Amino acid sequence: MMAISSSYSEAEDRLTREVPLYESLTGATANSGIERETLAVQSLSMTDSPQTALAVEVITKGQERILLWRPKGGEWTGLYTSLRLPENIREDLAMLREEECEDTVYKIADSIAKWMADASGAEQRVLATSFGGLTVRGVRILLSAIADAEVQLRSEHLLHTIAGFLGSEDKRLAQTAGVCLLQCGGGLGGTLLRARLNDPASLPHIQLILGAIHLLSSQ
Amino acid sequence: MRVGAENLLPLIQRWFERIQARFLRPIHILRLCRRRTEFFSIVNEATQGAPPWPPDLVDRVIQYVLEDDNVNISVYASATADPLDLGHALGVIAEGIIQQDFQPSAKKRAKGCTRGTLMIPINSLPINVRLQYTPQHNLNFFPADDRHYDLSTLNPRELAASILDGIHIRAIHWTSLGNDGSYRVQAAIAYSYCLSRFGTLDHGNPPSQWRNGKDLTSAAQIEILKHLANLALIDSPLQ
Repeated sequence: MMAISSSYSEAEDRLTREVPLYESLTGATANSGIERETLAVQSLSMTDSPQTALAVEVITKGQERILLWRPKGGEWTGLYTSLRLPENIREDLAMLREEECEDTVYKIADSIAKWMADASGAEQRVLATSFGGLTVRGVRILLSAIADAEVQLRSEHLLHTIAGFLGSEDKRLAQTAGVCLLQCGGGLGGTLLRARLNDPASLPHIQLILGAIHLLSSQ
Repeated sequence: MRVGAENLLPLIQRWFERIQARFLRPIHILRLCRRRTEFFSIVNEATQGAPPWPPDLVDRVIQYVLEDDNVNISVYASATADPLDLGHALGVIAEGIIQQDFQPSAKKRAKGCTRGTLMIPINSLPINVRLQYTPQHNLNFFPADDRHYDLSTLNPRELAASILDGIHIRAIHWTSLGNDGSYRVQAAIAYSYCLSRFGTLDHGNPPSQWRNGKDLTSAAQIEILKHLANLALIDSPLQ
């Protein structure tokens, strides 16, 4: 329990040391909420919170969020830390989940996209964990706003999350994910897109995605 | 400006252009779409699909291209379907000049200024579409006044379907504008035209015939145009 009050760097050190343990416990493969993509350290994220574990404590310190957790019925096993999104962005995301009016959804999405333009890769990564709570329409409009604002996507995790929407049954979302990866994802975005195209059976709207790629590359 | 012999020809030319604009229908009209990604998916599905168009696609054209209007839809006249046509450039700047990100004081130049444009040949529109010459409805970029028309229809679904048809058979050309420099090119074309029409453009001393807009003074219009064209990058950098 002492870890709760430890500093961010101490928490990160501990997380780094205990990553192999977490992986062995959970099988998680995603990167952590800490911007550690350049370090290629594997840990856990909120979206793939393992079934075997139960987060039991959330401590918020400024822009950081610290989770202490343990397997169900087991001992304390470790610590998960992540950046905390700014208050206004968390409010925007909450509204995005509930808002019905499309014009309003777009205004909220534009606000998030504007923030994302200056957000760090770590912050963008944390945002990616919020996609799971959005409707198909909410995700599409958010990705559309991101692409319209030509936001540079810096988080590998976010790019992987967006690439996952290429396989959507919703034709508009599938196309929007492709456009977003190409326009905002840099080299990795293109690589992820090509990798998914190698598995056409997993893409219900592959012809529209190919068409969007063709339109963008013919510019 | 003193009206000398060398200035008479452009004045006469402008006079003829105004007469022409008032009484003749333009050859092409430009319509801008502010949601470029939605625009892409419409163009993509119109290119890949074929009529009859699914109702949801027609709905999206009405929503994102016509902006749920069926009267007074703002369009600009263009002589050709070329994206470097003067009509295209003036329309693009007129539509976007009020955008906050375009202001010279904005943190980053032209952030988020992405647009899709459609260059629609007038003969591809349904017969009952009405075009009205309305320079007074062009609000904030005086040089584009003479290019502005209001488009109205009693049947927006028919108009939307004709736009999809036009994209499908490639009669309607489209462009995508963004921060890759494409927007700047449009501003540069518009700026160059303004130089030829008004002479030197000094926002501290704007040409007397350049009228103020609804929200932007003539000085502000000139300042933003220079800013969008990135003039400071190339003009006498040591001054």
